Amino acid sequence: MDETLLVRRRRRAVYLAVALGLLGLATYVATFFKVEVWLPALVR
Amino acid sequence: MTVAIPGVAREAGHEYPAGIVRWLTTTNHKDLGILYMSFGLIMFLVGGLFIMAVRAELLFPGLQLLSPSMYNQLFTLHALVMVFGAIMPFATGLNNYLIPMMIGAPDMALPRVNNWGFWILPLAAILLLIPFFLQFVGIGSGATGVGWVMHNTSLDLQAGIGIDFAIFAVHLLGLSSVTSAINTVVTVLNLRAPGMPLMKMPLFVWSWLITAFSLILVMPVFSAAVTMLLTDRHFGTHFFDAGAGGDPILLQHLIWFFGHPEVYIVLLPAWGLIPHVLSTFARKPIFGYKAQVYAMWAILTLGALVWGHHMLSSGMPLKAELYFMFSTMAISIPTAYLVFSWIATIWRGAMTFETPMLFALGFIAHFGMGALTGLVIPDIAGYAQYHNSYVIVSHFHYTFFGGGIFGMMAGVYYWLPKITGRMYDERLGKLHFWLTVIFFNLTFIPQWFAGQDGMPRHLVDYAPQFATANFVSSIGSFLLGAAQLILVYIVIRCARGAGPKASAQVWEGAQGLEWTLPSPPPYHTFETPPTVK
Repeated sequence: MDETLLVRRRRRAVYLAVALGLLGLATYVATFFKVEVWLPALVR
Repeated sequence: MTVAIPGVAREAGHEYPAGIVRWLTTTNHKDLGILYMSFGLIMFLVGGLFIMAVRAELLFPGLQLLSPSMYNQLFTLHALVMVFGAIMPFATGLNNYLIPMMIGAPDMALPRVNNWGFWILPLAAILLLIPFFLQFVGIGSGATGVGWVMHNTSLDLQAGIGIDFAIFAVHLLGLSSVTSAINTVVTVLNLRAPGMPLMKMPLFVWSWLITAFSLILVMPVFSAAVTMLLTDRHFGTHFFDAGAGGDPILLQHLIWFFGHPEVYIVLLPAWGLIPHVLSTFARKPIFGYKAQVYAMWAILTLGALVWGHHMLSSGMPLKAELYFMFSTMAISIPTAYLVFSWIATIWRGAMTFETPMLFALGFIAHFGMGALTGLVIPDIAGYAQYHNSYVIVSHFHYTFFGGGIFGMMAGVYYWLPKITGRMYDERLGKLHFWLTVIFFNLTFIPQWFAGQDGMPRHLVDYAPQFATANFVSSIGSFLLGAAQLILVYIVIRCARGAGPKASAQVWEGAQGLEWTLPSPPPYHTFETPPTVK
């Protein structure tokens, strides 16, 4: 594997890591802001 | 300031600082692997001390040593420390140390994230434990005492700062786990050596890839659930407050959606490393490699759909209870396939019984007992009897300890000579194994029968008819804890360079890229990736 390939693979790894991080964050937010729970909880 | 690495060519950019600065700033996967494993081992001892205090209280009926509040804190901290502080970090340490070497990568794909992921852990541990110690100087009312899944919504138990500290700690532990999981996925998918397609990866790497996906899926749900608990406690929301129209059962659903896959998060790394050990000491190839990969994926998928069997007594509709019962039992099919493959791997092999092999066989036997007892518990008729009894305590210790920890022990003895470059004392290793087997069963078999007779869990006191079972169990737990000091001695001895030098191959039948490297491996490995044939 030459350096260019390693750099390219590392860059792809970062993109994938960001995507997975966003997936985790979305799961977190989706749980927390589950609308039918969240809204009544606030207005009650 | 730099230190010399014996036997390794020094190249520009390869120096690293000495002393504490090295460990604080390191981005090297081997350093971080050692840090994770050391942290896991220390927390294993801390969690063990907590539960020995609990078992000392339970030695005889009546209240001897602990107040009910202190008792609640100790068993809760024991569980949180063992799950999040000991087993998971230890498995992550093995992952960090081994996976880049197993796939021929120079390091993890995100080394700085790796460092960050580790150093969150001690901070989280301090947050979790500090309220426990502060109570002795009159600050606060102690640590959390609501059980590790934190869904006991009794306001008495949730008063005080302990649960808030635990909530913050769990957030940090979750962040550490998720960053480590993301790092694992991107490393495995992007940095494999040429000639290593996914279906040629070592099973340990597969098991961690699957574990990492599971962590990314379920850990944020757990974090969100405890955030909601925090806002309920301090910011006027009523997610789980039945008095204001909230739903306490929702908290149970959210937490067990995480809690059940967590069992597989603990077990999968062990399931991945056991075939390596069995194959090495049976001198035979792994049986059913592809099917084991599919079985682990099936377990991950099913494991995310069965959380309700932890809540069969919470008043769900009968159809939901039936669904959770049958789907849980369905997990036994891929699990039984794994057990079948392990046995088929050693079948008619030229077996020798070094310590890693003993722990691997002990793993199969004890995990088997955990799995079989787990097949009975989700039966909705039986569950009414088993719920909240010592049957549950005994069952999950057969899975977590008999499965997770026996598996990790097999991994420790298998790779310790590779990591330290020194062979451990085989007689001491075998002594550790046999004492662990005897005292583990002495601790948890009586708990099963006390539970069958109706002894409830989580209580500081018990009826006199359970006295014998508890006495035997407590004695067993003290001896089990003491036996683990042998492991500490063995690890420290090897780490300090005592014992015969280990060869690169270490074990005659071992296969894989890590065994092509010297023992211990150089600080930087596979900067030029190997070609796998």
